[in-house]
Amino acid sequence: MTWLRWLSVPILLGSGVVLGLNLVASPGETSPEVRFARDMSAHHTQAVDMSVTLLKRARDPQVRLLAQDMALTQQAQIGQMSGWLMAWGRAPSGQEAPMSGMDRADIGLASPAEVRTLDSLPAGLAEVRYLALMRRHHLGGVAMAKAALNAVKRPETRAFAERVITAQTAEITAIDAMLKARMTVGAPAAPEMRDMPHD
Amino acid sequence: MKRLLVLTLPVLLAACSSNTIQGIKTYSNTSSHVQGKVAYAQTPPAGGAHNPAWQNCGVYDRPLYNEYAVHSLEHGAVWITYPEGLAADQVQQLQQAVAGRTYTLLSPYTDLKAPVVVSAWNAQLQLDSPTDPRLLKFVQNYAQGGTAPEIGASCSGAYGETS
Repeated sequence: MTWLRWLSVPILLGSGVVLGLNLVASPGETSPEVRFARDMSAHHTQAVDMSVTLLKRARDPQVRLLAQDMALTQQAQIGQMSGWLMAWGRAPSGQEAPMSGMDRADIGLASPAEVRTLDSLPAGLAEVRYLALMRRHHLGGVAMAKAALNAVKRPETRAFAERVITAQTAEITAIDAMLKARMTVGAPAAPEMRDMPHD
Repeated sequence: MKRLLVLTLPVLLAACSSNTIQGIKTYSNTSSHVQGKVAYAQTPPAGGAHNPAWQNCGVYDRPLYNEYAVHSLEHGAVWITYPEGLAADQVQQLQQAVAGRTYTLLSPYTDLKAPVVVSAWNAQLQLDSPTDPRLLKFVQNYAQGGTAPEIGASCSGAYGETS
């Protein structure tokens, strides 16, 4: 019966690995990884929403191209984050609303009224307003990603947060140049870049 | 190892059964794009043919056209409905339940038979009170998840009017 014992070792080890991956290593419901995926998906959703509006309305080809880039990139990133949640066996929605407990202005979210102005303002003004709102939104996104790096351990989440910081910081510079070229007045004030408390 | 397996099995089973919500009804509507009015099998509809445009997720104070809202359900939205004339404090409780969420619709529904009906693609639940904990459980299970055919599709940038 010794052979049976030896045979069973790799099988049991194998099942241990499977159990370990599914039950131990997957981030739990209250983990910073799951929270980040849900919060950042909701944050990205507003950027997609505003960008789709400008993709339809902008007459300036530079702004339209930026809006197209933002909408497609951020929607793809929402897909990446939803993919993690599915693989981790976590629902896309939590018991609490995403970003609950965070100061919505601190993380660069536009108010519902600000989002509506992108529809109601004349196209030229909506373009400038979009640039200013996206600038603030990106600053908030970078701050959220930086705060996440203090808490998350999963390599895919850390790499994602680092990409967000790099890409959105570069886009802020690009938006700054576009805003400067359009000599804006009355843009919404940008929050300082700083780490966001998660609770 | 065997003991570990025996110990984890009940945990796994419990985790699965905790996802079932008492009183939920499920259907097998199918999807297609049509123009004009649609007669739906459920009230409010929980799936079926729908308009090519979807209703933007959010809070509305007037009834919605079924045909747009059903398209949002296909995209993974949860639609919370209440009868016109529901007490203001109860409407407020519903608004709080969806505040900050990106894949929910909240609207009154003409001649609704229960104080709250919450619908997703091919799933529906009637509730007597907005504070019933099953409401949030339903939202958590079905918003961007559950049985929606197009999880990951947008719930904004389309139709934002009411009926």
